[in-house]
Amino acid sequence: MELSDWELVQKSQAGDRAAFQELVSRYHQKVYMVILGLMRNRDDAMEVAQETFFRAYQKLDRFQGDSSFYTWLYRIAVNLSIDAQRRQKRTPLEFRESVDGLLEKQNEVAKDPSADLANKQLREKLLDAINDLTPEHKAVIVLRTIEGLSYRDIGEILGCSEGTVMSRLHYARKKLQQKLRAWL
Amino acid sequence: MTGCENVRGFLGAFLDGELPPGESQSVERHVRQCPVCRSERERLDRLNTALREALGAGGEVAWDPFWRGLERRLEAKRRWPATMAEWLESAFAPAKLAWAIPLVLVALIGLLSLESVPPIGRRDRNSFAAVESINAYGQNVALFRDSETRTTVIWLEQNQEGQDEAPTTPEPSPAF
Amino acid sequence: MRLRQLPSQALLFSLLVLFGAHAEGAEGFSQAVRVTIGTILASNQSDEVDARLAPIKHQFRAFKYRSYRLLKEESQTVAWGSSATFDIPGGRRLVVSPENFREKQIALKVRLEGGEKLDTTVKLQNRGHFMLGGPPHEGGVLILSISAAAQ
Repeated sequence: MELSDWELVQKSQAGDRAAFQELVSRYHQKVYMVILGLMRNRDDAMEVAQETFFRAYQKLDRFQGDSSFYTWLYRIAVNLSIDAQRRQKRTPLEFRESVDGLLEKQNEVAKDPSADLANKQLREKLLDAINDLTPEHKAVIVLRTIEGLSYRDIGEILGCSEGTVMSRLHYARKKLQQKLRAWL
Repeated sequence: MTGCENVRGFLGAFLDGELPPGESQSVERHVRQCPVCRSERERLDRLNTALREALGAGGEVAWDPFWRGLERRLEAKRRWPATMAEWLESAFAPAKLAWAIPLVLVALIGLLSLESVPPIGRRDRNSFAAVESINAYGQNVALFRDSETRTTVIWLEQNQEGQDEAPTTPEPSPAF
Repeated sequence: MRLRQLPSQALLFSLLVLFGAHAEGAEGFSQAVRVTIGTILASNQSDEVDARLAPIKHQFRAFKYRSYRLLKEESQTVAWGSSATFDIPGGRRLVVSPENFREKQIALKVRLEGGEKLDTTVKLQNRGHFMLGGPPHEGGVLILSISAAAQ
């Protein structure tokens, strides 16, 4: 019978590495997708995702089961992603981003010239618009969209009330709609 | 709950299924009767669909390299205290003190000379290169420096016909 | 333990090390520069990163490629004021001329020719490096990692 997250956590706290590996196996894809939504760069997302589980392992003895394991884990992931984004914003990231965009465009055109250009452009514009949101607004959009988490769970992850989650989502969606008026 | 302005503020939560039953029914009734709010609901639906497609298309992460990378971090953390204890034990063995003094001297010299012998894998931390001049003979070239590794990159851009927008070449920083 | 008990060889060894360590690479003594060119093929044809590139893999975060393969690595010792030519895939050549070594920085003149043409002068720290990339090759692009160490 499959063990619950809490049972796996307890075994991991007792030093069972295989139990921790099982936890990682359950959540690594979801954690990666959320972080990728926040960071947009695959290598950075991979780095932060591994760091998330590393930190979780270090702090495991402090987890007492008063929240669900996955909201506790996502909180670590979101905080690390927000920190990483803030560090990037302080440096001339526009250099990297412009080359990222340039190289991605070159590769896309070279690989798949007959693909649906309008959809690709909408996707790019939407990702750009999400990237322009503040980390807190980006986080609610990503957690709601990718994971379909309830406002209550999102509030638990971000350390805010359900009302704050609702108003951040409303604001973020309004911003995105304004930027993509011509497309949506 | 009536009034379009009021309803529109709750449309997102309504579509997310987060409104209490009474409020949810009230919004649904209004949207059915109001073409403006109905259109707004459809716009929000389209946005949510586009968001799911855009954010859901990140790709899979392979389990094996992910776990191996994580395992390396866990192992490194586990090994460090044991290695430190062994080193301390051997360093203070009395019989070896005669040779300890020149070795300490060498270590001190090594520490003082750190800038010329950076540790393997971290050479980039001290690697600061400044581009004094550049001539690409009419080709587009981009200069940038990665913020974390401080690696300087000179990039020759391929000129492609039919690109929708010209690539943004960043202004070189004053250091260049 | 008294000083006279210390093995004399150990003392001699220490003195030699003290004298030798600071002589290496000092600007006034340098006769030549050891230039090393790493030729890397970056592409999206696979997800593999050459194991030999592991120590510098984090530098690739600036690029959007998934695969990096070290095609070759070549070193030449070049006297100040003269030049060395390195063959680069695709019929290209990289001509590197160390100009001077001042304030712990090596001024390097670099010319790419035989396809794309580029002239640049870069000042880098002793044992430092920079990258030159972009020339297309075999479905990807070449990235040259150029480093220099005063001898």
